[in-house]
Amino acid sequence: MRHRSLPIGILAIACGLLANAAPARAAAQTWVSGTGINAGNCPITAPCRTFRFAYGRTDAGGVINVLSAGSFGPLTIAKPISIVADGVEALIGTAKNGAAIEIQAGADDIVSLRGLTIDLRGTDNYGINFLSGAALHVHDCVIRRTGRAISLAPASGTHTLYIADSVIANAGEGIVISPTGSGVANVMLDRVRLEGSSSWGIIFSGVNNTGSITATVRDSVFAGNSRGIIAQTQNGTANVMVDRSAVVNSGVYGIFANGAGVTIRIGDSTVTGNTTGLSTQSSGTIASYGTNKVNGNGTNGDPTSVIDMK
Amino acid sequence: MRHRSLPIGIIAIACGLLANAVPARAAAATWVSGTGTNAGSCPITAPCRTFRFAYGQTNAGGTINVLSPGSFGPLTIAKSISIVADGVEAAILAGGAIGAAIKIEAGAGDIVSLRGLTIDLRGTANVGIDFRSGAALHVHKCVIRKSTTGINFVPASGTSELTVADSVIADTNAIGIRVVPTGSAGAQATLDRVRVENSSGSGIAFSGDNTIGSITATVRDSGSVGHAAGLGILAQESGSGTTVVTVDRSAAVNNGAGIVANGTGATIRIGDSTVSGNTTGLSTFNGVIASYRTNKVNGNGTNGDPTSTIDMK
Repeated sequence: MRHRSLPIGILAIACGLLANAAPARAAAQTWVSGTGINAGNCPITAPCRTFRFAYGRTDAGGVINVLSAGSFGPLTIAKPISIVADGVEALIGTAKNGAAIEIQAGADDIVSLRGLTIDLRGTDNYGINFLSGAALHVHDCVIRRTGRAISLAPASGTHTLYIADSVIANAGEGIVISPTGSGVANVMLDRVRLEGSSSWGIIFSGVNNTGSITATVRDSVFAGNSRGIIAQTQNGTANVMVDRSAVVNSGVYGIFANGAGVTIRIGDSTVTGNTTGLSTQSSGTIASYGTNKVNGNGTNGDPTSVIDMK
Repeated sequence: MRHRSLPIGIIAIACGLLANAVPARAAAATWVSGTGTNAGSCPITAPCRTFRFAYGQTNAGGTINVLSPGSFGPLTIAKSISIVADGVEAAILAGGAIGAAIKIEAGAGDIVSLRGLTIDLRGTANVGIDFRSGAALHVHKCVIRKSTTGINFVPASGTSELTVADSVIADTNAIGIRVVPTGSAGAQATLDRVRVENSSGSGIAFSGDNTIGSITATVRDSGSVGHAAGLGILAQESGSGTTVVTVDRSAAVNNGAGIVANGTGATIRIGDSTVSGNTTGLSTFNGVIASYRTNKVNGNGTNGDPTSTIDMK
C-alpha cells in the first residue's frame, strides 16, 4: 500500500503544479482593485492589482474595469482596449518608458480611457503618449503635474484624438499635437479645462510635418497657462476651430497663429486677462466670426480677418 | 414514535420543496451586483447577478438598481422598467441570442429608462440598444461602444419618443444613433449633450423613408465627430411624411459630410452650430437646410451653403 500510495501523492502534486502553470485564458473583461492580487485572469471575484497585469489577461478589444479604488501603475498599450473607472478613483502615479500610459497600437486599433487620474507629481514624464493607433478617446480623466500631459506625434497615417470632460493641470506642456512626416492628426476637445501649464495649454505643431492638423476646440477653458492655444506650421496645414471657449490669464499670449499654413477660427469665445490676447506671426491667420470677447488683455491684439457666419 | 416521526420528516422535506418551488414575488426594486447570485427576488441584501434574472423579478414599472460593479449581460425588455447604475460601473459586453445588448419590445404605453450603463460590444455584430416598440426610451449617462448600430430606434406603429442625454456613442461599426421608424410609426427624438464619435458609418441619422409617419427631432449641445467615411447628422425623407430636425448649439466635425438633408420631406434647421473639418460641410439633395445665420461653417473641404435662412424671434 505504501509503495502504491506514494506515486499517487506525487501525481496529485504534479497535477496541482500543472494547473497552476497553465496560463490563464485571456478574458473579454478583467477587473482591478487597489487591494487586488496579480494572479489568474482577473475576474470580478479576484481582481488584479495593476493595469499591466490585467492588460496581459485582457483580450484585444476587451475592457479593463476598475472594481474599487487604487493606484494601478503605468501601462503600455499595444492592442485595442478600453479602461473604465466609473465612480471610483483609478490613479496612475508613476511612469514607465517616460509615460503613465504609452500607446503603440496597430493602425486600426482604438483605445478608450475613461475615469483615470494621472498625477505624475512634477516628474518630467508624459501623461499619455499616443505614438500609434487609429483613435484615442480620453474621457472623464484628470492629468496633473506631468511633462507633456498628452502627446500625439504620428509619423504617418491618420490619428484621431478625442478628449472630453477632462482636466489637464500644472503640466510642463499641456496637449502637444506634433505629427511628423506625412502624419495626419484630427483632434476634438469638448469640455476640457487646461490650467496652469508652464509652456502652453495646447500646441498644434506641424513644423516637421507635410500632413495636416484639423482640430476643433469646443466649450473648453484655457486658464493660467504661459500660452493658451498655439498653432504653427512650416510645410503642412493646421486648421483649428475655437468655439465657445475661453483663453484667459495667459502669461505670454492667449491665441497664437504662426505660419502661412495656419488658420485659427474663433467664435463665441472669450480672450481676456492675457498679456497679449491674439497674436500672429509669419502670415498666420486668426479669423474671427465677430462674436468674441477680446478685452482686458495687456495687448488685446486683433484677428487678421473676419468671416461671416452662415 | 419512529412510526410517527417518519411522516413528519417527509412533510418537512415536502414543505421545503414547496417553499423553493413557489416563485419569488416580483418587487418594485431589485438589485444586481457583479458578485450576486441569481436567486430569490433580488433584494438589496441578496443582489442578483444578471439584468435578465433581476428583470424577471421586477414589477412592471419597477426599477433594477446596480448595487456594485459588474457585467450584467444582455436583456430583452417587454414592460415599463428603469435600470439605474448611479456611480457604479454597469457593463453589458455581449449581445447574445437577441443580437443586442438591450432589446426593447415593450407595450404601446410602456416607458423604458436606462441610466449609467456601459455597453461595449467589443466589435461583435450586435446592436447597442435596439428599440422595436414602446412609448418612450430614455438613455441617460450611458456609454455605448463598438457595437454595430449604437441606438437603433425603429418603432413600427404609433409615435414613440427617444431622449438621449449626457451620453457617448463611439466606435460603432454602423450608425451611432439611427432613428428609422417603419410602417406608420412616427418618432420624436431629443438629443442633449450627446457625443457621437468615430463611427465607421455615420453619426446620427433620422430617416422617414420606411414609414408614412413623421419624425421630429432636436439635437442640442451635442457633437457628431470623426465619422470620416460617413455623415455627421442626416435627415432623410423621401416618403410621404416629414423629417424635421433642429440642430442647435451642436457640432458636426471631421466627417465625410457634416450636415445632410436628403429628400423633399427633409428639413434641418441649424443655429449656433459649428460645421468644420468635414470633406463637405452642408449638403442637400432635394432637402432643406435652413440656417439662423449663426453657424460657423468653415474649414471644410467644401463648406456648402444652407438652402435658406430663417429669422430668430
